[in-house]
Amino acid sequence: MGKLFGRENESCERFQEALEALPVPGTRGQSAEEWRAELPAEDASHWEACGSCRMALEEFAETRNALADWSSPEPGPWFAKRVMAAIDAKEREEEASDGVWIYVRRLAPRIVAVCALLLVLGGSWAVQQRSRDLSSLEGKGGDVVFDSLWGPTLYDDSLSVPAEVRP
Amino acid sequence: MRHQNRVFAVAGGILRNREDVEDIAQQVFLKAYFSIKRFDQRAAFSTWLYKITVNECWDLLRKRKVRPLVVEADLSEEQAQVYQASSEQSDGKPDTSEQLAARQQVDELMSCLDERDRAMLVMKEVQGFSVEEIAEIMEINANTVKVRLFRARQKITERARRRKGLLR
Repeated sequence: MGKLFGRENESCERFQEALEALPVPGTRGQSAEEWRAELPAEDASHWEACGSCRMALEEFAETRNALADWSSPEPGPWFAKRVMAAIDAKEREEEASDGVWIYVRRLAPRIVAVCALLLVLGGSWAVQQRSRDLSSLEGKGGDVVFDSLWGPTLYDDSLSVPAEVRP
Repeated sequence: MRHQNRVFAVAGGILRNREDVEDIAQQVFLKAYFSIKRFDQRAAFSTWLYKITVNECWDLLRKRKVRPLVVEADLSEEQAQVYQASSEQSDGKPDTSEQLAARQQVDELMSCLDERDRAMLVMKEVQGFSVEEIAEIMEINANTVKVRLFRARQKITERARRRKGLLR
């Protein structure tokens, strides 16, 4: 803050800090002198030596006095009820807009459990079906050397040794 | 509704128009109620609430950019009477003409500041927020807050002195 006063001064900075820390008074019309009395002794003595800080304190006091007449708008007597009604209305509106999803969210664990059960049952049925298919193939094709879906091995594929090579 | 008055004060520092402030306050409590799950426990609840307030005010001002705000201090005498009558109706507590005049004077003084500086000044000098709190609520650096407060005070003082000079 020293820069604001045209000086790079630690004391000015501390003075400004002390000024900002002064509490809002219960009484109005406090002069710069009275404010100075509330500052720590070190800052109060700096005030005497520094013209910028003296001016800052005067501006501070004048602003506080000017704002003493400021009053914030007060809530009307129905304000709390108005807010509660608005909350109720919004809650009802939200419930209506995502009514189906509320039930889906509530039933989510059960839906997941049912899905998992269906998956297990469906999976085991599929495995059983496959093994049933295999066993019916075995019955039709006679001797099956290899367990294959494409039926018995062709003779051309078998390894045969020519007669002249035999001993 | 422990924070009600401070929410009104923060919004009032930015907007000034009573109806707007009440609408924003309602919006703030509604938003806070529905997004309480998202509230980060590291920050104070009040800071979070005032941050929502400030953001809601900026949103409203952004929407209103095409239609500039009517400043109470800029109203004619006749319009001011209408305003007074409407405030009597809405809160049941009539403002005295002295109170209205004083408020108009402050509003007129503060009209030299932009919304951000005005809000900061009200939070600091009327509501007693610390610089750090204001920085968190406004989402700016604490040093920036100090500089802006310093300049805002300078402007207010200059304007008040000029007005006093004119009255003499």
